[in-house]
Amino acid sequence: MNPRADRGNRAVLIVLGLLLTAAAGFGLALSYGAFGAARARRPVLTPATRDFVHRNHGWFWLAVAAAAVVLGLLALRWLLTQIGTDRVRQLPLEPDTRAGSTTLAAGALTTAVTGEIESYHGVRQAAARLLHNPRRPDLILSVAVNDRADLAALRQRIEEQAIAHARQTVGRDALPVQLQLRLAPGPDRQLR
Amino acid sequence: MSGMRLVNRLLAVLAALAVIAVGVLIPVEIVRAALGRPHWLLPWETWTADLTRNSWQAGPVRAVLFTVAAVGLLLLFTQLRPRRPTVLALAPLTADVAASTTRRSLQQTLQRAATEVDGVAAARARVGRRKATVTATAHVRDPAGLLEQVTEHVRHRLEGLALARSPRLSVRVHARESR
Repeated sequence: MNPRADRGNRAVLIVLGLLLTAAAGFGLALSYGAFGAARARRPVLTPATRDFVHRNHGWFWLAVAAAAVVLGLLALRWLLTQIGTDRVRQLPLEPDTRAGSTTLAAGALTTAVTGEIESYHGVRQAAARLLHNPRRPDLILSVAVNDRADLAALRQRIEEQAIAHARQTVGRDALPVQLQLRLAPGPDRQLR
Repeated sequence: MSGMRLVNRLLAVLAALAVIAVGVLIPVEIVRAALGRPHWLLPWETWTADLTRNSWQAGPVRAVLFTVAAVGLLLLFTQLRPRRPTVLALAPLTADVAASTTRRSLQQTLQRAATEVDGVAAARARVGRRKATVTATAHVRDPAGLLEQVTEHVRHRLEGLALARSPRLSVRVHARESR
């Protein structure tokens, strides 16, 4: 799944919550006389408001319709971010595509890096995927390690060997990597 | 994916569909009204009449306002309530590598570390951002000497991980309930 979509959802839902609370809070303040008792007794839709809309109906309704369409399109975009991941499948290796292009299948890179990590003593299982922008991808590594192994040494080996090799392969020393270590029981415990 | 994120995804889909519906219905109704046709799905004639007749103090108006306020506050409460982290960052080692471990696997490993001590029958661990609590149950009736051993063993496991921000460790050892 897509962690960016989750952060985005939270942000949008907070903004929605703020808007709803503020609008309803304002209406309730008006209703209970915070802006004067006379104001509270006036109808929600005053004749003055209706007059204004009536006099300006040409641009007013056009503006309302345009605003509704823009909001609807933004919501459609938000909806589309919920489906699908932004997994990268092909990596462009040549920055200049005028003389043809070279691409690397993301699967080749992830298989190589997980194979290397899984060969290390103390690693139970490794999974890798490339996410986000194909030109500037992030490498996401999930490694299950034996929790009784020397974790400092194991992590150093993963970062300084396997990740360094992956960075060499894609030709980007600064390839951002998210390394998630899951601490799993050692194999000796399962025999007991 | 944790429960809250799944709930948020559902809420996001519902809210997005509602706004998309508004974005379609409002222009349709505006065009229909401009052509002198009656409403299609939004009974705006009735709404206009109601809103012209009712004051801000009217019961139905207040009911709607309270409902909207409740929905808004509920959204804010669920989104802003501090959540226990699903992952905990490890101290940085190499440039541009963000290492972390899952809170759940850390809890399980601390639990295992405690039970590895001779004399411990079972253990439970809870890890938050600032505090890690391990509660062990001893085989023996008098667990006085065990506390230090369990603390030492669990601390060693925790420190071996090199978390970016090490939680404060609190260990308790209970004697097994006598039957």
